[in-house]
Amino acid sequence: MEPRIVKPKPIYLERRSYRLRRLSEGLLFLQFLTFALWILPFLWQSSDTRGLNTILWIFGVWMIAIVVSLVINRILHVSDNDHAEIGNPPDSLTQNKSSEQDNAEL
Amino acid sequence: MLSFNLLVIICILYTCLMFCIAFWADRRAERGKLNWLKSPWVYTLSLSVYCTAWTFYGAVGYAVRSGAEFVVIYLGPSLIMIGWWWSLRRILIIAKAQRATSIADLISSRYGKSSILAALITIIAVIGTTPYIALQLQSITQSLWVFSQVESGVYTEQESSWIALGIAIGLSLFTVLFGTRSIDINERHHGVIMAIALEALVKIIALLAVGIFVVWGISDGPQDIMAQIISSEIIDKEQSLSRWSVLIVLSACAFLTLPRMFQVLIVENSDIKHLYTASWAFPTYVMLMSLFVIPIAVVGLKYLPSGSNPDMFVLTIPLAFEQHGLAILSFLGGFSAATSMIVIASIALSTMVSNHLVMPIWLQMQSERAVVSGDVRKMLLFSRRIAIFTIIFFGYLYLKISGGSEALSSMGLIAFVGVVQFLPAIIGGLLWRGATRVGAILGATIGFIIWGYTLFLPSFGLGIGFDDILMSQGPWGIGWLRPQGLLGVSGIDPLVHAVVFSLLFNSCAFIFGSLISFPSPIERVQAAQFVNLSTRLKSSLAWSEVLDKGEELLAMTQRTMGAQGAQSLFRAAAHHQGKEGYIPDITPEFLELLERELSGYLGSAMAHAMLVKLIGGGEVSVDDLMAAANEAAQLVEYSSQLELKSEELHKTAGLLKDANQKLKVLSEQKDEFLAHISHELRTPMTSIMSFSAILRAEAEEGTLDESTLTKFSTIINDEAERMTRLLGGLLDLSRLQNTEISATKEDIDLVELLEQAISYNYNERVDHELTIHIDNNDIGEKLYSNKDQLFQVFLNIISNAQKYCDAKHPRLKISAQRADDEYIYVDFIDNGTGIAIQDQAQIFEKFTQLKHKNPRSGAGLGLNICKHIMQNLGGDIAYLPAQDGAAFRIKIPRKS
Repeated sequence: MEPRIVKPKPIYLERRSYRLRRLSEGLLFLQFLTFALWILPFLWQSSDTRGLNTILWIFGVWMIAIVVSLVINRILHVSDNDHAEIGNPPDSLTQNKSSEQDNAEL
Repeated sequence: MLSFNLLVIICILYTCLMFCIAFWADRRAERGKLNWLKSPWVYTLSLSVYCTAWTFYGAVGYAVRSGAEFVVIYLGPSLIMIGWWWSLRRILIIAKAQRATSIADLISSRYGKSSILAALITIIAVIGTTPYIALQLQSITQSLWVFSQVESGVYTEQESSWIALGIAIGLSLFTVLFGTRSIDINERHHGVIMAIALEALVKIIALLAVGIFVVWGISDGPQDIMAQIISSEIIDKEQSLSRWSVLIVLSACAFLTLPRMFQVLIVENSDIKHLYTASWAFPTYVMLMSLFVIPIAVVGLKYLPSGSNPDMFVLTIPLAFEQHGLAILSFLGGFSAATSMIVIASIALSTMVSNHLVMPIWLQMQSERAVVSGDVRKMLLFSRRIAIFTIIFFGYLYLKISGGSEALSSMGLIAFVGVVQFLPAIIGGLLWRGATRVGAILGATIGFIIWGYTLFLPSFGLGIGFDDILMSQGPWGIGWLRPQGLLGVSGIDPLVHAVVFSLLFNSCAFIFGSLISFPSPIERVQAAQFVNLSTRLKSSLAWSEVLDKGEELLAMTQRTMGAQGAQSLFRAAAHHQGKEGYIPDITPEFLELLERELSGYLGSAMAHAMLVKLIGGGEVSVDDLMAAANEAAQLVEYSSQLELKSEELHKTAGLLKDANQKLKVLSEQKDEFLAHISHELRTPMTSIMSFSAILRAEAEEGTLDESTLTKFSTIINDEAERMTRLLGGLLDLSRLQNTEISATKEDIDLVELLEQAISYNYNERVDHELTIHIDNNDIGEKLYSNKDQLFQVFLNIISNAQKYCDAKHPRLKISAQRADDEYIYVDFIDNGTGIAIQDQAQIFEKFTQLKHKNPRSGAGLGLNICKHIMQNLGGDIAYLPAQDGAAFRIKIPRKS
């Protein structure tokens, strides 16, 4: 009996896909975190500048959330363009595209 | 100096510009040059239709009244866009797969393509949106009014109303022109979206410009503004955590469920990848929209005369500082916000109204010929155009009736709460397979009612809507039903109260309705598709057979999509299959494509129904499986009916067989009877003939002696008598059998009649003596009957006894007794051997003669005649077994 040569496989076959999936979950987390942070000012002790601080806080959180979202979405977008599988196969996109092209031909 | 007329001209020019852009974009789209019309930036900007005039102008007013709270209506949508992957993406994928043309279409798709649900959602959406449109019209007239004040030529209320009407008509025209150029929602309204995107730019530039002017033009930069904010009263407004968080969630939900948002987010979306950009770009947009709101509010409060309308600060600040260019830009920004909302909302609503209200009714009316002869396309376009005019006109009407009250400005949030009532049905439909149509209808209805009761109707103000007593004490004084204090809850903000209670009852009703109802198979298939996103979304169709109906399909598609569109669709499909010409093979893929295309025009349910109607039975989809199952059930019923019928036939055949058998027997009996009669007649006839011949011969020869003459003539006489008797009996029998004898009845003395019968018998010649004894214990009865017939019966029985009683000393005992009030029994019992048991059944039949030595036997008709007579008289005659000898009992009714 010949000895079989078995290539060691990585435990995570699709490391990148796994990473992307976690990133998309990161978006969900970001959503809830942002919500929580926007509520946070109500827990502050009152002070003279509380009102202004609240406003600045809200806009600050807003901007940070936008930047984080921008980064995550860029990564996701690039991967999607590479036809990586994230969560669900993006065949709805391609399907959609082809029908779009049909329309264009018309 | 800024002239009011100049402003109107600018306004018209701006509108013309929008027309041109929309027209140009549509032209490009028609030529297929979609490259940057399909850009994610256009998509993101089109989402700004969320920011209406209410937010453009009103945000500042909101900030003046409630401080930082104005920002919440932007925070919710930002959250949705940031977390789009988990909500929006899912809805988008499903909506695309189902070819949903509106929120009503999507929800009804989930719940088994229910047209009732779609109609319900359409109605709620229309009711919720109309005041919102009024709000936009109001903001335009208000901003015009601000300008006219500058020019001192203040125009009257009447004039402002005319301006509002003019704007409404202009917007309707624009919407009809660019919103209903084609009816394929999937082709999208490139022109309109392009114009909306441009208006979005105008909006944000205008607001930013005013903001920058306020911060750097009026104040001394950010530091100064900060200081002003801290010292202003705005910042001290008390904020409530509950209201804050509820409003964030509310605006997030409304962002998904507002018909106009669904239109731009889902329907007009050409590529799901646009969301990668919109996810952060849209929050940026709304953040910029709100960035300068507080500075503008603070500066407005500080510099403008007290009593100025804070809702118009965006406009009045530049005017107060003589910045007319900026003022016009600001005006155009507000104008853009108002018009884009009206255009998109009316497109979305008109699609819903025509697909879910008008078309079902129209198709119903045309039920027979709809698919074949009706020009569905024309009808759709027509109904959509009418719907746009109607909706915008309603908005105008609403504005005019409500008089632009304070109520109108709160309408924004109220409308949010209204459309959020769709949410349980959507979320439940996406996450829970057990959600059913009944639950969705129940939930939406109850949520809608509570919304109307707790928020919408009270918003009309005390005069128009609910009165003071109702609001403070509840209907009929029931405190628990107070519109703003349901279940005795008090002290919370009316809006929070309405949101919490309407959604609470809505969700409970939704869950309860879903739990108790059972979904139809189509619904269950749809539920699986919506919930299990991972088990790829195949279209709801599963065409299995290749059909040869290409031409019919093309004809139908032409009627719906228009000739050119249909032909190129078919040609493209044929080309794709490698075929020449216009008719592709009708593959499942093609039918699926066609259904999806048609869905864009008609909504998914309608498209499916039309295709099914046309293809008819060749395909196997769930719908048709259902139809097939129904048919099968009908067939089963039909066959069981047939079975039943055949059983009946079998029975009838059996009866017929029986009847036939009887007829045969009767026929045999008749033959027998005839043979018997002829025999009976021939026997005496033969003897009469032979004896009369002998007599004649002997008379001729002269050998006739007296004794022979006597003997022979006696024989002849006897035989003749016998024949007469026989014929008389036959006559009696036929008379009794064929006609109801209405015998004349009279009072009869029973004893007298019996004695007459006995004496008559004695007169006859008898062979042996018969002793007759009348036992007259009860016999003194009077009867009321037919004397002659009764006499005949008695005579017959007595003579039978005389003839057949074979005792040495024959004796007949006659007794009578009263059976009851109705009958008398007369028994005739002799002392002979009687009648054998096996013969007892026959004796009353015709021609029954028992074997008897007595040569004087008759034709066997006597007892039969007796039976008939007695039955005619309402009585009976029967043989009494187990007596000393032959015994007959005659039953005679005492009265008639």
